[in-house]
Amino acid sequence: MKLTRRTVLGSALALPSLRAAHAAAGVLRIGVGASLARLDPLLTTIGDEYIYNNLLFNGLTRMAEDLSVQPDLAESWAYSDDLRRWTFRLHRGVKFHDGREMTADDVVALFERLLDPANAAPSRSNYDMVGRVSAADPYTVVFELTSPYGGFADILSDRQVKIVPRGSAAQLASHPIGTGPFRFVSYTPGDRLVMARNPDYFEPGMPKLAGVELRIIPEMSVKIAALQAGDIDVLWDLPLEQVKPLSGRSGLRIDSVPTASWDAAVMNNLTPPFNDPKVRLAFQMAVDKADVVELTLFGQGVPTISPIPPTHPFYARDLAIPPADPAAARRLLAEAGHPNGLSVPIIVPVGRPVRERLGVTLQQLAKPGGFDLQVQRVPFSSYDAEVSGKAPLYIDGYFARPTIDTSTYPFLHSNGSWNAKLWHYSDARVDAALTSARLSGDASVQKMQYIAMQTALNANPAGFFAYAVNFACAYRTSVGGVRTHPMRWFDLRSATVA
Amino acid sequence: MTARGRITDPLRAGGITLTVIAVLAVLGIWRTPYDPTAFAVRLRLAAPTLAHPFGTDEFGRDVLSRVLAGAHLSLAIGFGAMLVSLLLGVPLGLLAAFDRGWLGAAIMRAADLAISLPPILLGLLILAVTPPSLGKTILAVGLVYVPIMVRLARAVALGLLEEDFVQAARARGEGAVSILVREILPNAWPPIIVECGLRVTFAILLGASLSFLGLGPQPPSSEWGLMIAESRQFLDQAPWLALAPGLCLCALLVAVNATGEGLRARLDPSHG
Repeated sequence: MKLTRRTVLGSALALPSLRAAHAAAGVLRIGVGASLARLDPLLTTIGDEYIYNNLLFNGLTRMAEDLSVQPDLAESWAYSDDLRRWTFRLHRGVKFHDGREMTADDVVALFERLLDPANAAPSRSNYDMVGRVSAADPYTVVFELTSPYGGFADILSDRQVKIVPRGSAAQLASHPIGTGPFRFVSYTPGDRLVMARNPDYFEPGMPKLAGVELRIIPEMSVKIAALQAGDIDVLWDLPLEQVKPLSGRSGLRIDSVPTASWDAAVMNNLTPPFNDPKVRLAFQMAVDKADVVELTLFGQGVPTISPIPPTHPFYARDLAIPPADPAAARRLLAEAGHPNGLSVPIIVPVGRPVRERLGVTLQQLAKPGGFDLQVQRVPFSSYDAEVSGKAPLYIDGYFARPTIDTSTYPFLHSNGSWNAKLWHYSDARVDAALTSARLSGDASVQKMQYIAMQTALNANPAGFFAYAVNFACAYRTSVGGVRTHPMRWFDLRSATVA
Repeated sequence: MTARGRITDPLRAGGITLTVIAVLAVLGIWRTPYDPTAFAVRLRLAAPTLAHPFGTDEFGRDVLSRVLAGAHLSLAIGFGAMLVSLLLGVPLGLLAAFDRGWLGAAIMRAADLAISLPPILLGLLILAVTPPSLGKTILAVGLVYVPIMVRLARAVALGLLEEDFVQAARARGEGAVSILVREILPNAWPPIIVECGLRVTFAILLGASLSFLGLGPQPPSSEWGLMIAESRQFLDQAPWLALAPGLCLCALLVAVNATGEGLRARLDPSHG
């Protein structure tokens, strides 16, 4: 470019004003998929809502991106030797967005609301070990548990247990108030949820952004176009088939992280044909999990044995996941009384593309092993009434839970709450290992027990755990200070947008 | 000789296209270039090439083979549903024209009620309560168009009932069934056949829409509406996935419509 007085003057004038405009903007726009159905964090049920929960509110503890548990509203905690009495000391001087101080009474009120069956909080069963919650003084909360529980501080970092002002439950739906780094401005279902910086946030120097907007864009191709055009800065939950094609684009950063979220072909252990352990084992032998990961997830995941992902220290590394052996699977099926193979319908949820793809993948891959599966697409909304815990074979999956105990016990223990809605699985060795791990606070004992659980499960499968799936987000390179969280929410306290 | 009896250009073009599609569809049940359900991991979402003229899908399956293997499903839904509405609608319509009492009124009010519902909603109502299958899709789409056929058959028959030859038949003392079958029906055919041609188009489209919504043939079937539904996630990466079944659907609809129009020119005395 030829240097003239005009261009020098022009750029000198233009640059500072441009910078000022960006700084004034400082608003991070996140593209999400669905409208938030509820603004009361205790009642939220979907990933899009959990993002909001973690921006407007705080819990007692917080889970970092590396899955370590850190202080949040509680600055420290202690537990009794029998793991039944947990004492949390709260930060002093934390203010709600309306200026009132947050105290132990607010925490007690939240847990009373959570535990009251009349409120039908979706996460209530995760906390059924809580007997009594009380405020020892304005900054100390004491939890008395009915059974020992080593991971209690961990589960307080979960999605729904966010502290709100006591007595505010009625107004949370229209004008939510929390202690979080951002405060509520407005919400238009189907369009956007607007949040602004909380100037009185209790952690000094945070947040750095002027505000956050959740933009609701259901159609993925529209969302990707919006990201490339700069209409949004972050695309939450990028479909896994997009990870590779978008990775090369300039101006974008694609981040795909391993998580403990899993999908499985759920088999009903009470009714034929899958009440026979040999049939379940034959299915496991018939299908190559590495192929499933490639076909269903476009390589963005890893085969697993149980809900414990291979990235976790408690994963049973010595248990190999072998390639498919269709001949052995057929032999085992014949032993189980199905010499000509089996013909079973497999139900897949409409509107869950990855799980639909898993169904079609298994339909094809299990064929040589003697399983003739007929895919039936059923709306996900009718799963609860017609499919869950009833159909002989169907595809379902679950998001990561904050602890290994909450990831395994409810799903695989014969008394587990989710087990009854899935496979009705019962194995004495699995039960014993899960119970022993839960009652111990010692990580080495827990590791031994969880490996024993996986060994028993591998020999007597509940169903077909297909994989631990990655979670991916796409960012414009102007976004800084954000890491992709395996729990599918965002910590935006240090986020910036240039 | 008027336009009746002449083979018009749309009729010729439509008829030839329709015949080609029908032949390919029937062949596609047994023979396609590749196995339409076989996976090929290395060839996933590959762009169209000579080996795969329509590209491959997210499992590496050949899209051309899938389109061919799925063609008979669209045709079956279209023509099957037309037959259902014909076989139920025409007798009911003739009956409603002949019987001016409560029976005729009941048939027509029921038809009015069914017409007032949007077709896709009526189809959903019929399909949503039971597990989906091809036969049920055909039945549902056919039932959606029964009321239209009833109205048409009745309107045609009402006109014919006033004609001299029908009066003559009455005067000869022929019974109701005999008049309907031997006097009315042969003369009511031309407009009904034309309507059938049009109904096939709508039925194919409605069938594809229902199957797009998950209420038609199930994966790994390659019904065209289902293929379009499955390709939606890959629209920006692999547009050929949606384009191939979409274009085929388009060609089929235009061919059926042109044939229907051509038949009308040939058969409808009031036309041309």
